[in-house]
Amino acid sequence: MTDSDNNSAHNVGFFITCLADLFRPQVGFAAVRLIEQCGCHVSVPQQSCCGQPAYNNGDDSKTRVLAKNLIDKFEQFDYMVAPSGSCAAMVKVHYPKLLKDDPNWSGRAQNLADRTYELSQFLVDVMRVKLPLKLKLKPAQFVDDKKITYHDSCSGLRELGIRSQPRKLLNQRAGISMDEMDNSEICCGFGGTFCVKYPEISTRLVDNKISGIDRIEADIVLGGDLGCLMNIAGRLTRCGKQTQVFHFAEWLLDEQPETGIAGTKPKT
Amino acid sequence: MKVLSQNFKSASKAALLNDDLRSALDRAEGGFVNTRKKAVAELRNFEDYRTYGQQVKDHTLKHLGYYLTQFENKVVKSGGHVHWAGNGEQANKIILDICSAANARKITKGKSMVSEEAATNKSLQDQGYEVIETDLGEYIIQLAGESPSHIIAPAVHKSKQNVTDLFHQHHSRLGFLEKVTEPEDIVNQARQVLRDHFCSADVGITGANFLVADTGSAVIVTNEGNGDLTASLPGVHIIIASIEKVIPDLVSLGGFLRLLGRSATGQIMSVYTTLFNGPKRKDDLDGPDQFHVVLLDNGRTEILKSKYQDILRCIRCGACLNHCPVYTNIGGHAYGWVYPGPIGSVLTPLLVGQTKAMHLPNACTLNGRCQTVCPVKIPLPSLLRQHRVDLVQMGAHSWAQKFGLWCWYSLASRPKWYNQITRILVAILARTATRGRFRWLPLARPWTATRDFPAPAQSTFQQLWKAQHRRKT
Amino acid sequence: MSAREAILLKIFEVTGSSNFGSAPDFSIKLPQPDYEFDIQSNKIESNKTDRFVAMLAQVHGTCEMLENLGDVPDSVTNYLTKVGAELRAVIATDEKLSQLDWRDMAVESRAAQKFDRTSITVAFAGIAETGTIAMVSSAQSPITLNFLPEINIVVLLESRLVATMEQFWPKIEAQPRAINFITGPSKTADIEQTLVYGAHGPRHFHVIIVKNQR
Ligand code: SF4
Repeated sequence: MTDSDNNSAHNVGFFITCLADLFRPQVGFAAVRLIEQCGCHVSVPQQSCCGQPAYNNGDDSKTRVLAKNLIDKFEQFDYMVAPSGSCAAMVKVHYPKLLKDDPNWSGRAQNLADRTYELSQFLVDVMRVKLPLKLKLKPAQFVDDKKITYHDSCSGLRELGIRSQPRKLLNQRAGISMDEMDNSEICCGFGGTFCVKYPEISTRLVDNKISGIDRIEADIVLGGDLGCLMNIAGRLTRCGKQTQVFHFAEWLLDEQPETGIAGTKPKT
Repeated sequence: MKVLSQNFKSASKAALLNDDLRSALDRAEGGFVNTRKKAVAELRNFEDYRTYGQQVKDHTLKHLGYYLTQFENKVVKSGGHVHWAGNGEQANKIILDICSAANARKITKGKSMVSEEAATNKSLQDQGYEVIETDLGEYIIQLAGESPSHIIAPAVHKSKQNVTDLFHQHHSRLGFLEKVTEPEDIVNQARQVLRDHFCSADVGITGANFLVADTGSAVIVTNEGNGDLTASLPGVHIIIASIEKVIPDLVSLGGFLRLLGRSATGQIMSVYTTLFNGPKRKDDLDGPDQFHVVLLDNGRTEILKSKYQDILRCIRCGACLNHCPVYTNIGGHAYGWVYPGPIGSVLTPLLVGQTKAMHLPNACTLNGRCQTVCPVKIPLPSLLRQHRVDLVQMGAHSWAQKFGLWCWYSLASRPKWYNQITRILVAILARTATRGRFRWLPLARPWTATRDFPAPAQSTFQQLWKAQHRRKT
Repeated sequence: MSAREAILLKIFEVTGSSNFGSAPDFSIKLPQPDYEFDIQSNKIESNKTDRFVAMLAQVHGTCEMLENLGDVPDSVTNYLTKVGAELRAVIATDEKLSQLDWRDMAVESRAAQKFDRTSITVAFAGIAETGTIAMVSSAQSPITLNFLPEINIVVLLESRLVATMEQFWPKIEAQPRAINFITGPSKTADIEQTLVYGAHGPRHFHVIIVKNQR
């Protein structure tokens, strides 16, 4: 664990993750700002995917190629940080298993795994961020009358143990208070390619999630994984609901994010 | 039991549209999850027990030959018989022989999942025996001519109304003319009908939750007491159990009992836990004259050899089903064989063939909730993924699926191309979207049929970042 | 090759047969159960009884405390009157029961039969941790008494109460034909998750804890 005073020395390799790269770059910029405000230096090496789709479909040989690419790019940094629990878990939990029989790579995989963190984990557990002090945030007046809830994505929750960290950050953010749904820890039905292989089951699961959101009448749903968030947001808009969905990092900045995932506008 | 797992897709779709099933499952899920949570919290070092359960099962599997023969010796010493069966057919043959030697006609049965594997009821009925399931849930589905949809609550998919009708249909000829609609009355009627069977059966067949090697005890856990009546009233008691049920000794049994009740039904201890050690003794006033144990392999030794060995730790508590978002929404029948839910999705392909049951390990989001509740810490998601690895190696997937993955991979493995091509794609998509989303997209129907597809921003993060940092880098 | 040989052979292919026959070293330690309710402490002997009673109540069992064994018949009569049952019972073929003065009731010492309404048995032990009664089968303790009747009354000498399952095992000297752990009345939740008592076994499970064996 690092003391916040000598964070300046840290070089962080930022792994944007496919979905944030393509669909929601503002998540990346928000994350980078947060990491930089801890005094770290952030780099973004040219990158593609961590290999999760291949891995979850059982194609280990393809996954290994992608894993090696990624290790190659990121092992030079002190830390690798990603704004996604499932992508961080891929590197932290699954890379070492995937490459354990490869003498040239097993050590490198473990080494990177040890220094890889999901964003909220990095900020809270490694940088020990105290938001109002470190980030000098303005109070978030705009949320006064909004009910905000959090969806725990499965990989982050169960593979990395991320539960309190994003809530801690959001609670430190003046003006934000959270309401919990009773099914915050139950899968939203995204599951990578699951959502298109078994769309009917997937839809039922996301509908259950939305019932949970509706039960507490939340206006805003936050989470740490864009896959789940796009799934929830896409179903919400299709059902004609006005609930907005964001990555939690977007709500830790000074500016109020306007447009939610899938183009939703704030309720008026 | 006939394998229908290949129909998973259509069966699960149909299940989702079944409103009765949905209310039954909702009711059950809520109950199981909350009661388990409470019971687990009450034993503050429950986690230590999970570790213990895992270690003891692993130890036993490592010395399986020793413990099985030790068990066998002890049963024989106490006057019982042990029979070994390589598969279900052999097991059924053994059971048929015992029944015919005993001149049996009527057979009562306690709940046993391995006997479902072996289709024991059918084999007995084909030979003219009358077979009566005595666990209330099993009895209900036997009347309905169905198979269990949950490993500990076989009739969980049935509504009260269903049971009312079934009982009316089957019991009126026994003189029960009024329809029973309240749970108490339903249970009471079943009690009366089954009581006759208990007392007139010639053979009782039960499963076993554990086989204790050190004492030769077959352990049966129930809440209704049907297992004990099945075992104690007829002249012959046959236990059918798969070989991985063996555990070393009574002390370890204590550990597993603390895990089982809590995980299965959220009970600190189930109502009846019975250790059976052989037939009636000389001075006993009751108990069976014959005591048989059928040890069934049915694929276990193959699993022992494989990468799936961990699944043999399973104590069939059903917790993984109750916590599975897929199971709790589609119910058990869609899985198409004896074992549904996460345990079924790992086990079924191993026992009936990986390609036949290939949907099962794929129809999972890998959300991991099952693993966190499994009392013997089986890494269910990893085993499910392992099936997917095997399926890829076998080339079992469709051409379209392979092609899709190949396209994606060609791009993802070349970050430079990836960056260039995604830029173009993103720009096109961003321009064609309305209000930040798509109601329809080519090739994305499985998503867009029920969900809008969020549109990307104008540029990718990497593109924007590069532009901002051009001077610096 | 017999099925037995085939199965064992396959197992030995994986596990090796070198140590077959000699007992493996089984040294995994069972954790001590950690409850809020301190039942381990021997200092507080009454804790055991309290826990037993509390756990039994949780599972819908009922309980009564008596000073002396001789008080049992009166207590049974009262109980049966209270639940509206006939004053008739099958009692275990155990001296502790047959020697008692049952003048107010019709009792018979035997195994249970189909329509017996009430049985009275003597517990081999009680386990406080879970509110469980342990019955051990013998000529004096036919096991059908535990399952067939609708009302099962169990006499438990307080001295036979142990704290945990682990303290129970050593009390068994030679393995009996059957050990029945009973924790409350028979029940089922198979009809829409509604808990119903008296599925196949006893609807009422009543334990009489007796302090002195007089
Ligand atoms: S896999 Fe684990 S949770 Fe599932 S039934 Fe078996 S023991 Fe229970």
